[in-house]
Amino acid sequence: MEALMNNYYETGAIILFGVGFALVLLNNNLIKKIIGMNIMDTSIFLFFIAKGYIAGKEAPIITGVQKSASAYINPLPSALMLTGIVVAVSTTAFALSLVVKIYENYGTVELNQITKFKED
Amino acid sequence: MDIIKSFPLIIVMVLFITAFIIPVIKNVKKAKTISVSSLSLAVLLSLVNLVYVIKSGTYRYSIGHFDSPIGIEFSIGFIEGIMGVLFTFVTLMIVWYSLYTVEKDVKDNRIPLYYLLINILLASLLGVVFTNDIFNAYVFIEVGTLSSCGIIIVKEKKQNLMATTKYLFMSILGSGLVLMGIAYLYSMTGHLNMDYIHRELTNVYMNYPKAILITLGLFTIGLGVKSAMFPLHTWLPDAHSSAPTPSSALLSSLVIKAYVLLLIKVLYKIFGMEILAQFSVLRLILILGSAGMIMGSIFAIYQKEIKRVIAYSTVAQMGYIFMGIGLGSYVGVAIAIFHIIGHAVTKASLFLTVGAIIEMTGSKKISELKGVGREMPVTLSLFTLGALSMVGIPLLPGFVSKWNFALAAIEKGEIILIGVILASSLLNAIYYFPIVINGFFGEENLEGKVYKANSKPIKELMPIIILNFVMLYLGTSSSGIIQLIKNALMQG
Amino acid sequence: MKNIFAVFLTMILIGILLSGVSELPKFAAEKNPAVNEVMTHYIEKGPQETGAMNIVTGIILDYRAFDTFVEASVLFTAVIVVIMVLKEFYTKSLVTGIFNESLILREVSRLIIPFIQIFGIYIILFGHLSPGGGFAGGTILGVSLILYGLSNNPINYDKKLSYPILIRLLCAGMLLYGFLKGYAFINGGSHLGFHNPPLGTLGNIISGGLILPLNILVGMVVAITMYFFFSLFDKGEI
Repeated sequence: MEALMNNYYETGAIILFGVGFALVLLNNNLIKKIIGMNIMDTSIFLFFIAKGYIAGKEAPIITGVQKSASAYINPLPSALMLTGIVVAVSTTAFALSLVVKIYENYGTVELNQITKFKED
Repeated sequence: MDIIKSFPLIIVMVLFITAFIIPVIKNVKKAKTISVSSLSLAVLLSLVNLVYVIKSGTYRYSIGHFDSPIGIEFSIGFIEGIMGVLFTFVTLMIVWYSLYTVEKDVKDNRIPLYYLLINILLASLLGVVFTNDIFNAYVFIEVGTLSSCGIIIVKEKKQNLMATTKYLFMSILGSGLVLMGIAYLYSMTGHLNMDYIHRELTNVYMNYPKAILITLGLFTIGLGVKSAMFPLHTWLPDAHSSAPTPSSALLSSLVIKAYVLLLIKVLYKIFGMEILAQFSVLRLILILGSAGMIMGSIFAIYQKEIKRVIAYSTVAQMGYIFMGIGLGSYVGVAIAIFHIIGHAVTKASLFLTVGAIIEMTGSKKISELKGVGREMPVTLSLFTLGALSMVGIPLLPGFVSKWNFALAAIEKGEIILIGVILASSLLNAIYYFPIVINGFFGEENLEGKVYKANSKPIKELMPIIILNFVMLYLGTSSSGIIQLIKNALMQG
Repeated sequence: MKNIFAVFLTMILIGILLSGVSELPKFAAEKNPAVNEVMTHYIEKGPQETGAMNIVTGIILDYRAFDTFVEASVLFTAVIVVIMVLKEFYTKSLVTGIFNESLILREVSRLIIPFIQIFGIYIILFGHLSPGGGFAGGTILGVSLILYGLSNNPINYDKKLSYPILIRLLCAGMLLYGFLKGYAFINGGSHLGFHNPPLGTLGNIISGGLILPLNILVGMVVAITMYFFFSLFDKGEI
């Protein structure tokens, strides 16, 4: 429990991950499922970026004089998550465009009504 | 001769750059020419690369002028070299076949975009296989997801829509789990390069018993969703059977294989045998693989459409590969990789012949395909050759894989697996042989019914014939290839 | 019943993951495994080797430039797939729905859009000297285009922001990116020793070798992508 309270950023990220996962499982509406997946992706970004922070150091941008390496936080996780955010945006956009097409074809975005349509 | 070392990177960049040109080209013929020429160049370069690797051994190639671990690098050994040849060659054959048939499934103004997506898909699969950096592999996985969904949805029918939606949602969940696994690995070791992670992990793994087990589980489930491990395979039959024929051949034979290769790399290159022996993840993969072998075939028996039968057969064959990974010895993994090569060629040929039959007779159900052998003898005999390989007749790669799997199982002391392999071969025969026998000898549907079918001209069947020749070559000269794979694995 | 099972499964998942987190290194500690020679190399030699004062931009556009190239093609692929799903290729009249003209929106946006665009261009150009870069600046430029599309009647601008022009700009941007970066990769990886772009002096705008042109290209690609997404979802065509 001590360790969990110390790593509170990571704990919060995992709870958010669980919330997003529950949203995907519990909801029938396709758009709510997409929102759940977005929350899951965002929580992983939070988890990763929190890994880069070192207490008391400043952001890795050199203004004026360059200090030694122990005066800045870790720049690598932030750089990786820039890529990750762009990827999450692209997949969300594609998923939403599929939902638009489903609405055009079936007239609803509720999953149980769509499966009823398919069985007819 | 160092310029040959840059050929894998040149292949990936050429495929991407030709893909960027295509959206402004409206002429279908020009788009087809660009696609075929870029793929032929890729096949040539990967062949030269393979010969170089066989002579000189594994090498690492840094991208840009920064070496690892500061920058990204490709690591090319015999396994990556032969996978490069396999992927580019099979894609070239599929695209060659599709030159004549793509107009029937896809609208004219979408055909250039279709070839663009095939190029990007192939580039992303090659990137996953070649790379030595785990975050780079994750970004390539995302490109692969988007483009493989794209080649399913290019044909606009209602069932394609639901199949693509299911595939996309499960893929996004899988990628999210893989990213979380990467986050755990980075926070434990501080590196992203696979060799360096391995070095660090062997030093520190005693401190994190639970975290390593969780990371193994995350990677297995995340990559298992994308490569159709048994209970997570539910997206595969819909997606592979409703896509247009070249797309289903590409998806079933190549796309799921690249992710299984990444799983092999993660398990055996990053974690290594010593760490794996302390956790029971391999046993879980073994059990799930065996279950997939049996259940995939049982589901296939009840299907009524021929493309769904072959899609479920893919699930069963992936079960073999997971069983090979789960055995936990280098021999098992080597046989699994040989099975990847054999199955890719065979499944591509099967899907293309089935596509030809469906296109010429106009029906997808097995019950309506009786007697089609009179009209299309060449096509049906090619299908028979592929089906015999799946069942496990000698001289064909399917038999070589099953025989060697049985030997590896005996060596590990798991006698029960031999029974599983035999049962699954029997089940394979139960659903493949009726199609073949009814096709050649079935009489009931021919009376009073006129097939609008003629056989396709030989010129259009050439790619399938070439694929079958390669299949026969693999079946007969397999021991040399397996020995080379084993050597590459032992060296790391 | 199914709901209770789903919540139970989620609780188990959270519990398993949390038990792993409790073993991981402490948050914000100084002696993390992540603080190793890789990080010190990035911070100490980063500005000299890449010419960028913003170390994060130096990482994504120089050290790990291959990741950024693949990520730009993820954006490109997403645009192509969304076009394939949603765009009607038949000639449909652009003014299909009723466009509600709003005088206030049009006049205020006419005042604000130039400032938004200048801000976006500033963030792109100064990406290697201060926080920002191609992605953030490109998003802001794209937002300005979306505001333009929301507040004006489509008849008035369908010649300026039309599909042929924008798709050619997108493809040209990606092609140029591919060629520039392909040259840099092969030049470095095979140690061919060809001419490298000059690094310039630290702190100027024109410095950092290829970082400035790449930032501009990435910004353009992201802006066009944002506008395509808005236009396809809102109007059903471009």
